[in-house]
This record gives sequence, C-alpha cells and structure tokens, in this order.
Amino acid sequence: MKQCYFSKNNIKHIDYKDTDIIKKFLNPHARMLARKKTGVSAKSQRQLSEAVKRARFMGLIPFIAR
Amino acid sequence: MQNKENTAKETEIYEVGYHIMPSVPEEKLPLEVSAILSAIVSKNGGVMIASESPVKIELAYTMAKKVGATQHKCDEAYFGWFKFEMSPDNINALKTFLDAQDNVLRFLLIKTVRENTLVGAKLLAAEKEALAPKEEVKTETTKPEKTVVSDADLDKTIDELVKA
Repeated sequence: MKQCYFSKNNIKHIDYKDTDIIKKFLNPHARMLARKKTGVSAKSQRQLSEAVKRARFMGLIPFIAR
Repeated sequence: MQNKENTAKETEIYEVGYHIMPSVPEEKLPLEVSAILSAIVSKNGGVMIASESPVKIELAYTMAKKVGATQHKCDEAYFGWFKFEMSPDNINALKTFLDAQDNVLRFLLIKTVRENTLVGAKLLAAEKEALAPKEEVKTETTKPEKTVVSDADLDKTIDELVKA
C-alpha cells in the first residue's frame, strides 16, 4: 500500500500556486489521476482537486492538453 | 486574551492572486501593485501577511478580457499574489475594486491559512537530491608525517636494537 504523498511530506494545505507538485498528479492530458493510482488520501484528494481547479482558472496549468 | 479571541473571530485570512495585463510596461508594474495594495490595506483595513511581486509567466491557455468594446487576448501575464488578514465585511468591497480594474486580467480571491503553504520548490529540490546518485565521499587519510632522521641517529638506534 502506497503512502499518501501529502501526509508523507507533511503538507496540510495544498497551494494552487505549487504547480510543480500538482503536475505530479495529472496525466499527459492534464486530467487528474485517480487515487487508486497515486495512493493519495481521500482528504488530500479533495484538497488537490480544489487546487487543480484554482490553478486551471489562473492559467497556471491547462484545462486540457494534447 | 479575550481581545485576541475576538479579533480572531472577526477577521479571516485571505489570499488574492492576480494577473496584470501584459500590455502594462514593466516600469509601471509597481503602480498597479501599489493600487491593489492600497485597496487591501488602507481602504479596507487589511493587514498584510505575505506577498510576491508580479513576474511575467506564460499562461497555459489564452485568456480574454473585455475592456470597453475591445476584447484583449493574452497568452502571457504578470502573476503576483498577496496574503492578508481582513474582516469578511470588507471583502466584497475589495472584490468590486478588483473587478473594476482594467489592467487586472484575472484574479482569484480565496480563504487560506496564515502558515506558508508554498512548499513546492523546497520539497522538489529535496526529492531531487535524494534521487541523485550520491557522490563518493573521498575520505582523506592523514598520512603520518615523515620524520627526518639523520644517518648518525639511525645508526645509533640500530646499534641500540642490536645490543638489546
């Protein structure tokens, strides 16, 4: 069982400006990866989805790619 | 103590991220930033916590902003942010101010926490370091210093050893 990336690194709040971290959890089409694949906890996945949506709105990451 | 609790309830921590239009010349950026800053601090009684001055970034997609009758399309913009503490009563005034700014391409006003939430650069640097093959640590073995012994002394010590 993979440990959650965010709890492992003691990240309590996921910032939408941290695009390098967010990009780890996106596939080449810029869609979010499933928890099943990444091992992120349910709580962090909810935070991550919020951060992804904010980053998309601000043009830091694309809505769709390729 | 009681006073502190009251202020904690009355104010919230907010963050505003903004894009300034790329058409604004770089030397006029501080003017735009100070306009937003004054809207937060002096007009609406906010207390600044952290900020980052705008830097030009390439946007992930083309954004459009309508100013008057013309629509400006932007592929890049100056992105900066402010984190501040403010009463929730004043946040609407700040929003309407930012909405009215022609030079602000887009902004995002969110509730956040006082602690620093930006950890990406530090974390990724640490990860890279951990992944990189470790360099062989060259341990310098200290060579015992050579003592200069004269021939006469050497003979003496040999003689002593032979005698013993």
